[in-house]
Amino acid sequence: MASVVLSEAEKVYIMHGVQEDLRVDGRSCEDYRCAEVETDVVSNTSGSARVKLGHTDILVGVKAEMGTPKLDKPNEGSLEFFVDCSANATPEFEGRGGEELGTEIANTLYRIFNNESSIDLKLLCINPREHCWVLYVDVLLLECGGNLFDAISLAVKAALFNTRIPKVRVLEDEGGREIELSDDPFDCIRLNVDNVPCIVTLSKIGHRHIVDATLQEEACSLASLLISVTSRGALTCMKKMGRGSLDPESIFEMMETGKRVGKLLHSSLQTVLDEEENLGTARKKVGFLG
Amino acid sequence: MPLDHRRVPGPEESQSPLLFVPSSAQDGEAPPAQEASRDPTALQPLFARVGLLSQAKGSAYVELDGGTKVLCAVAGPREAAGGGGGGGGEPRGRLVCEFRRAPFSGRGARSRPGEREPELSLALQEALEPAVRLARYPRAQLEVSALVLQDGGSALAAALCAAGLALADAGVELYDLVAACALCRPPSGGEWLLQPREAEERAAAARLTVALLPSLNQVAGLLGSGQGGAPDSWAQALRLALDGCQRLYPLLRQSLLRAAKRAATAEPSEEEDAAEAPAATTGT
Amino acid sequence: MAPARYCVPGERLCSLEEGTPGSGTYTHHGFIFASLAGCFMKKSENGMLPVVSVMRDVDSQLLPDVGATVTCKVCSINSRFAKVHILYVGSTPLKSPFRGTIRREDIRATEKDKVEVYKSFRPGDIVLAKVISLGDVQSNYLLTTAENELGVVVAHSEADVRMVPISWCEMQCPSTHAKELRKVARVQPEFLQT
Repeated sequence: MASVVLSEAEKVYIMHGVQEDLRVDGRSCEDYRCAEVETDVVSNTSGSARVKLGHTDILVGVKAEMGTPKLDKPNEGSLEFFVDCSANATPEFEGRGGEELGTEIANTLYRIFNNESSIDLKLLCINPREHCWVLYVDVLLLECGGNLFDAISLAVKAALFNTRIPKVRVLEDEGGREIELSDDPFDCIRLNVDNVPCIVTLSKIGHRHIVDATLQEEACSLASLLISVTSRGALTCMKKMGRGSLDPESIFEMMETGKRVGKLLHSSLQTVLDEEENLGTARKKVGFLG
Repeated sequence: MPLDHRRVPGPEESQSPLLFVPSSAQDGEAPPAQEASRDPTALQPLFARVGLLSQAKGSAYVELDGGTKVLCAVAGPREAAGGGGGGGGEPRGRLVCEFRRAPFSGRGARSRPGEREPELSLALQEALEPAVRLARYPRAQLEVSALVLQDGGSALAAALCAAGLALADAGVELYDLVAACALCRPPSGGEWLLQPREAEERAAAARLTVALLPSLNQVAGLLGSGQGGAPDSWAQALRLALDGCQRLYPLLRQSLLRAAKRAATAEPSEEEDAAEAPAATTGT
Repeated sequence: MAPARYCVPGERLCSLEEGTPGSGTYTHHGFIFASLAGCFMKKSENGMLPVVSVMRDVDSQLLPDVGATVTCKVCSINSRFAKVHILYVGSTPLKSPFRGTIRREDIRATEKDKVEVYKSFRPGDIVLAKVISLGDVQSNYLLTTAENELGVVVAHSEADVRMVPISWCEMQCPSTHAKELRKVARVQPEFLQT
């Protein structure tokens, strides 16, 4: 992953700041950086979103394609995640450099969506055992400025909210079935993203933990806890990251903080998404020039 | 007539027969009565043996009563490939971990051989790194490979225990041993079960694996996901797992001590240790 | 004699007031802990705090450390440095060789600017050297032979006969009497036992 090199003095400075609940950029331990969210930024997708969290810049595109259901889940569609660490973000990702990080992130995304409540996959079924929608969620890292996981999960949620899947009907005629696409381009399925979890990564620095660490803060932290929280405050995934260990009491505290922060994160994201939606066609697209 | 061996002599489209089994029959497969009667805090009897591979620097074998069999070997320290040491300037050693399953380890169809599991390999590495004194191995790398011979549930936890023992057996300087427990929550809700068996794990709504450094009381690894529950429920699971790991620790310690004594009392007849009783816990 | 006490990594041995940490141990919160699985030893020397250490019967593998004397084999030379494989640390063999570099300026202690690598080493020579640095991310171990006791100890002539040192910079082949230039080590008597 993109990393910065800090001197001992810089680390001590950051650690003391965290201890006093005042971080280098003026935030307190439980504050996120200012996030910019824009949906529908790429036109060739079923849904897309771009999230900018400080210097972390993520673009997510969702494409719906027709496929066959998995053998063990005949009446459900599926979600596929791909994470591309482009060399734009950091030269280390050149060639195959970003592959490891990419699979790690994709595996984490599979993990947080790997439960029945996150998203209603039955909605994606067209025709049990034969046809279903497969949503390919492609994540592009445009810039890495710390806290990748949280930013990616926000972007994925926003992109899924923005996703519109065309409605199809199955026509039964003699001998076979035919799939007919609706004539009205606005006649489409929307996904219910109320239960899509967001990731909150809590980094342990000194004796305290912080959310939304910058690259500099990540360099000071030996261990962090990644948890995914739904809008109702339920946890769907828990994972320790980094090369340090955590003491049990701090994990309990981190889980509580994560739940509190996660709920707040969900509600503010939802407000922004709803506001944007209500603007409708009157919305001025910012895109990549903003 | 020559036969094309590569062609499967079957219909072009096929579906799993399981789809046509009435749902009630499928449910009957896992007897719910047995699940309910199980003590959620019970550990499966565990068998651990240290130093059984002669070619590896260190090795360990862990077997659970549920049928999980894991073999772990440690190699190195050897010169790190590529630029050694992590970021931040200080030259630390590197830990390279690999988690593999034997093609016949799981239930059902054979998996492709030699397939690495990147996620579990990473989990293994992140859980072992806090335990190893990597600063003592500048510019070198240690290789840990865990092979699941049979998966009867709680495979990652068993691999973590085995890896900790194998590292200690290799004479790698450690801060502590690693004890690990798996947990799962049955779909019906209710209590978390410690060290689930394969059937319980497959049916589970949520799973969690916890690795602990028992004498320092630090959580080294944590990996879990599943149906959302309140943080309290996960916290309860974590407490249960910590308790389980602490109960597992004397056992791991004992098997390591036995290996150390065996090595110290030098080479007199190797058959002797075969007669020794395996280290095993009972479920209480 | 009391039976030896064995311990496993992570076991608390004693507090820092009762002893000083030796090999195979680490300190944490004022206590000494074991970091190896092995036999617990407490050695007391003339009233000082006893040294607490954990010993393994089989020597755990050493790594070349700064200041350690290592035995290496030269694998290639050029005008700026010689590349070597480190085979032994002290008298312990390494399981797998580590790569090291002896730079031109680290070959001799005096007249460094006149030293030429090919007049000091040849591929295949066995060299005693000392580790001066672990190197950075790109380079590997840096070694020096700038001491009288360090340098070539075993070298073969073109006739493939083991040569005899005749001066501090020359070795001679016993069969052809040809002289070759080397940075010769004055081998210390304690290393000469066979």
